[in-house]
Amino acid sequence: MFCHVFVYRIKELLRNPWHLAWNLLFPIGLATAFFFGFGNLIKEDPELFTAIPVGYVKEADQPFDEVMTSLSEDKKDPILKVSRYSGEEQAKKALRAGKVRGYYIQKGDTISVVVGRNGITSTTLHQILKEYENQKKVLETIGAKHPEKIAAAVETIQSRQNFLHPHVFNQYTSVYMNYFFSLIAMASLYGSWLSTTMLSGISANMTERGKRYESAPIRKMTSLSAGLAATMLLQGVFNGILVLYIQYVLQLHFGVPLWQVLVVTTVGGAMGIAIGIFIGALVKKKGLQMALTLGVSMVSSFLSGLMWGEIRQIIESRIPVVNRLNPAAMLTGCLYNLGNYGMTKNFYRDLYSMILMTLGLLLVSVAVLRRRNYDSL
Amino acid sequence: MTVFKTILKIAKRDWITILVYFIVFACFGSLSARGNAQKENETYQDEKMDVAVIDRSNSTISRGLVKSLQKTDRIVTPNTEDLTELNDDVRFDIYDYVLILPKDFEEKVMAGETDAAEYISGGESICGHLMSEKIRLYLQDVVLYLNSGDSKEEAVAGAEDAMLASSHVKSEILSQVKTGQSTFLAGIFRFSSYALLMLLIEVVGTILGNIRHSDVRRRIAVSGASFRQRNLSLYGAVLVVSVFMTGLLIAFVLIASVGDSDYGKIPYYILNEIAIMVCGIGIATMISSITTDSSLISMIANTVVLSMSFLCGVFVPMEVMSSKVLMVSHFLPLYWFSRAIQYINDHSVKAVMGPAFCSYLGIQVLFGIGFFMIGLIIFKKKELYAV
Repeated sequence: MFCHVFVYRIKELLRNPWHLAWNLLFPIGLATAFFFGFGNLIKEDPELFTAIPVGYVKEADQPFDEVMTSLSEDKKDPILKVSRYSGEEQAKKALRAGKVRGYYIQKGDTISVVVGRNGITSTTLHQILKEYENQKKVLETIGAKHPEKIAAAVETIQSRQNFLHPHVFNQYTSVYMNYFFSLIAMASLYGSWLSTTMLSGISANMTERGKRYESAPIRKMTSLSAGLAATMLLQGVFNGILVLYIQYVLQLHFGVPLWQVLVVTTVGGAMGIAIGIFIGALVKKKGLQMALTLGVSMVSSFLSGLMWGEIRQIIESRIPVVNRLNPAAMLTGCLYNLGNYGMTKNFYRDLYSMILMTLGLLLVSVAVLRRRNYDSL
Repeated sequence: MTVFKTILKIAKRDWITILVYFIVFACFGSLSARGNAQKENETYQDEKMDVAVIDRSNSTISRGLVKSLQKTDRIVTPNTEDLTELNDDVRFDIYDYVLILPKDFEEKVMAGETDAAEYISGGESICGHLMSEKIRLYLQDVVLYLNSGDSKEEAVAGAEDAMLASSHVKSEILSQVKTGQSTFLAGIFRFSSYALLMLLIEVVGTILGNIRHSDVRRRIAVSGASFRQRNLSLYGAVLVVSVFMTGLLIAFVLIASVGDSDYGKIPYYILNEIAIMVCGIGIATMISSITTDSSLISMIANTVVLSMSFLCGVFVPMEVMSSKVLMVSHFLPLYWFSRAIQYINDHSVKAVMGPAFCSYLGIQVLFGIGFFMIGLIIFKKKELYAV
């Protein structure tokens, strides 16, 4: 009987065009929109440091000219791309036209920098000037106190000794992939619509079919577990198609073998189904069921970074308990950690949380549904 | 009047939808607009970075370094030492830079080693480069003084003096340069387009869908009201509902942005909002002529509006989008809405009204009229062929 109900549940859900549209086509459409919107940012690092285009107006000979040359002619990592101008008007014109981000102007002993707006690039241009003045001051001080050490000091400055090294993380996916992880989480939570539909079909208080179902000589647990298995399988397949679409059609990589991603998204799909069963078991009004499933999906997805990529991490650093309870944040976090750091403790924390939430919600739902009886009046 | 009242009753039934989207807008719209808002300044100011420092050394040089950085940046001690968590904080802009000073930091600096300290920055970013350079400069000064025979304390004091001496360098901002920095008002009005279009398509689409239901249509047709009267009531009520929903969003923005330096620009933002409202009514008319099923209307609304929002710079800034995508976006109304927002944001109150701004509004209205006409044609054809 389990297999019979299972097969017919699959057929019933597949023949409902809304489920195919909402749970499969809509996430694929949105993934495509994401890809066209910022797919270029995933393939090319938008924060990659490139030489800053800057103007230089020189009105007298100064060592600062050498600084400009050395910063722009470094073959490995040039910091500046210098355009030299004979007068300030030319430099102003270039700045207004957006050809340069600022210009240095040297009038006698005074050097200043003119920029278009405040920001990190302008601060970098300002810092170059500060560094120049700083080194002048240090050499003057050493020259006054220990004139015999001045040559060694100049050599040290020229060698540009480094004291720092970056911490390198082995696995890395673009931070913009978080939008796609969030999208998969949203698609998984849309699984709740599959399960509310499935539950309505076997609840006498919801549909005519439910009345026929409840009066049939079949155990409630059998029909419920067959329905659960069918919806979980279907949502797992929908999630899988979405993952394959992102990986092979959009050519965006998850950073780990695909089977690991599929396992996580299948667990995520099961969690979405469990949320739907839980809402379906507690809420008896169809309109309210719809509003709740939609509300839970949209709010959770927003908080996991569907529309504002940074929000999940902002919550993580301030009120982490929200991320521990938000199902979409769990799935997003799981995929993010897997893609960037592998199977770390944070990955397992989120994975186990999803499994626990799924089991917990199913247990409560079964307890509620088990007690639902209809008297013969 | 009966048709008018009926439409208002249908709209009233959708109060949950209106409430949900209003809450989404009020909470998430203002949250994201506040998070992304940048202040316009006419005088130069160094950009302060958020730097998390883990000082395991607690030595004279490390303390000197932290003290020096505190003068130019916001230094915090993170509540975790887990490097992956700190890396995530950097990647998602909680911190710009994480500096880890090991126990033997001072010895390594004095020995001139190149791996005295470790840092985490967002890849090869400009923030990372700037911060590393500031730290390198400070430590280089300390080493220079140490090599010239000074003690640790003297070297740290000397490096601090040098930093102080260099802080007088002059930088200024050239006026009349387009800055592109987005204010809170620009951010929240940009987000409002998502909420408004969703509301208009869902609510107006459902109203028109209900009215266009064949049975209701027949009942209205046999009533005594003239064709003109019926349509006037229908579209008059649609307009009233649309203005009410637009007004609701605008009222929230007005309250949320009291005291904002750009408050004077609000009339222009409202004009832009009205233009996108016209466009939204047009899209709703078109969708409701295709289907009267509220679930399908809801799905089309989500697909169309969310996709347009991502393609037209509502959720992702236009500056980071590829030029090819932006070329395609020219054919979508939200692109012109976003352009108008950016235009208002970039210009002074007196300079906003002009041919460019009017053309942005005009294009949106034209899109709206176009969608409306397409909707009417489809509806007419369906009626003609009794589809």
